[in-house]
Amino acid sequence: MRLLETAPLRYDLGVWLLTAGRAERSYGRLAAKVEPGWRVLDLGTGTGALALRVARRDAQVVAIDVNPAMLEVASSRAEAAGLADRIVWQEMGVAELDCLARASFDAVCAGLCLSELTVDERQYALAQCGQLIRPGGLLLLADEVRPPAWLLRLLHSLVRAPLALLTYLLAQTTSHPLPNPLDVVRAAGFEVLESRAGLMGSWMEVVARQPRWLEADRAR
Amino acid sequence: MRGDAHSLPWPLLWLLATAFRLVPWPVRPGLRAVGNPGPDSPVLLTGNYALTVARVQRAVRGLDAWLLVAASGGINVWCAACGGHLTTHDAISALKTTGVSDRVRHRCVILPQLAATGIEADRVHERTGWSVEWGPADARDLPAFLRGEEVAGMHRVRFGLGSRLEMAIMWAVPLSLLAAATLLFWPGGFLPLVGLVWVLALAIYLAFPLYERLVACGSLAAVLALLGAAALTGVVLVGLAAGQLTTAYLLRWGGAAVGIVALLAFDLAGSTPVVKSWTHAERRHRVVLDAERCVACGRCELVCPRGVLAVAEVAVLAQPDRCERCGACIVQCPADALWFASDDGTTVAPEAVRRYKLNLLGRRAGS
Repeated sequence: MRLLETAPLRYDLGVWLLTAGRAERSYGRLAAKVEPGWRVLDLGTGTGALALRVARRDAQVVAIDVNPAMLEVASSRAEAAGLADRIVWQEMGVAELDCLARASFDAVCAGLCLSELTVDERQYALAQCGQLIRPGGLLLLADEVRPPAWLLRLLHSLVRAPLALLTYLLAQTTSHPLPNPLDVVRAAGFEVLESRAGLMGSWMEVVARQPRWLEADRAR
Repeated sequence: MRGDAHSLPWPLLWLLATAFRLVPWPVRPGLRAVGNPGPDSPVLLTGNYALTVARVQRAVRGLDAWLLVAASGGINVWCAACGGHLTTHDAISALKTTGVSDRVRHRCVILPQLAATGIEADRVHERTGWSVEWGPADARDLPAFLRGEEVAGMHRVRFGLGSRLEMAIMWAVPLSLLAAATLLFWPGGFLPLVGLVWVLALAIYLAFPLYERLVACGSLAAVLALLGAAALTGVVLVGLAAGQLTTAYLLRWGGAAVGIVALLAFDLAGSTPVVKSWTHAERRHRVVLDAERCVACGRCELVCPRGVLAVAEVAVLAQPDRCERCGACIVQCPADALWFASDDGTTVAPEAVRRYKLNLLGRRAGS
């Protein structure tokens, strides 16, 4: 949510409007995939909605975002929730992921982040995730997607246009729904375990696995 | 690799993007080739605003260069850099994710000078290994810059006739659309009202150099009084010439003229590249220099688009009145020798200027 980042306090309302509350429900389900003690990386954490849910699962979280003002809001929320010691906030973009240690995370999660990236950035970010997640670890995504059928796409655009305008006026933010999330995830070498498409195919949750453990098993 | 950023012919793109300049106009970010660039060709970074990309492409036509279009939210370079849409992270991302490193042998990227308020050259170098060279303020000076020529004024923002015309159009179009509301209750008034909007917008912006000093003094009231009086005089003269100078005429058209002037002029300063917007919280701030800390590296002088700073043994604020308060000098100073301060004692530290950018209302988060 790059454009609304100058208005972090209105961010959550903007996200809620644009996703009709779906983001929160998805974040809850994705966080439930995280096991206690895991080390999790949250990409584009924003105000920390997903990072906080993951931290509540007794996981250690590294949450990154390019906007320091958003990170401060997120950090104060973590403190208020008593989760400050479980989350490290870092101001960095996905292009800087290569400074983190390889295979050092049990999972990488990203809520409404990939749709904010350029095509090049998205490809780079997923390739980096492949390096950062340990073999068998999970990639957890929730994002806006472009409905696959043209009629749905048209309907979705009509419903979304006034919401998008309102959100833009409120928080100077908008997003660019992903055209083909599952293909992008598979192209980066992940094995899709679960995917759940939201109303009218405009929202998607993806649980994917870093599959290198299969090769390791075979070698054994 | 992508070619042209847009399929519209230049005059049409210029007209449309200028008419609706108040909204972002994004093109796809990524690496583009201009001419037939090779491994030693220069790499130019810019934002993904359609008009900017087209301008850079037109400016370097006939040369061979790599054009790295960073994601700036579809906003022009200076506004994006001030507003946190063209940041250090965006530059790093463009350099690392577009594959430009595989295309060239060198590691030097030329950034637009006006991006200096958003992108920290040192951090880009530290995170990517690319060194930053500050290009000219206006893309039209790129060919001379690439030839190594120093053209007078190439590192200064200009508010020339062309830019002023663009600003007039930028305000006249939305106000004309707004005037369409009168069709509901005063259909006969619509066309004259639109005519009045255009005449006033053109007059205000084209005549700007005549009253620039008044704008620079920062008095919205004085500027409104001057422009309002001039508009009223015009209305009276037209009334006299047409022999219709009645009270009803004066109230209707005089009122309309003053109202339109107020709408056109409330952010007059912010619509120029030479005066800080009156709507911004930092309009009353000034740049302060601690000469003790200055290491005379010259970066502040290099990035200042208004020629405020001069560096000899140490930097001096040679022409403080010209400062536009963009903060570029503060962002780039390696010694933290510059910061914002205001008469009421508040200060904005260098780190805050670097980290927190201005929102639409000109407020800096964290300050």
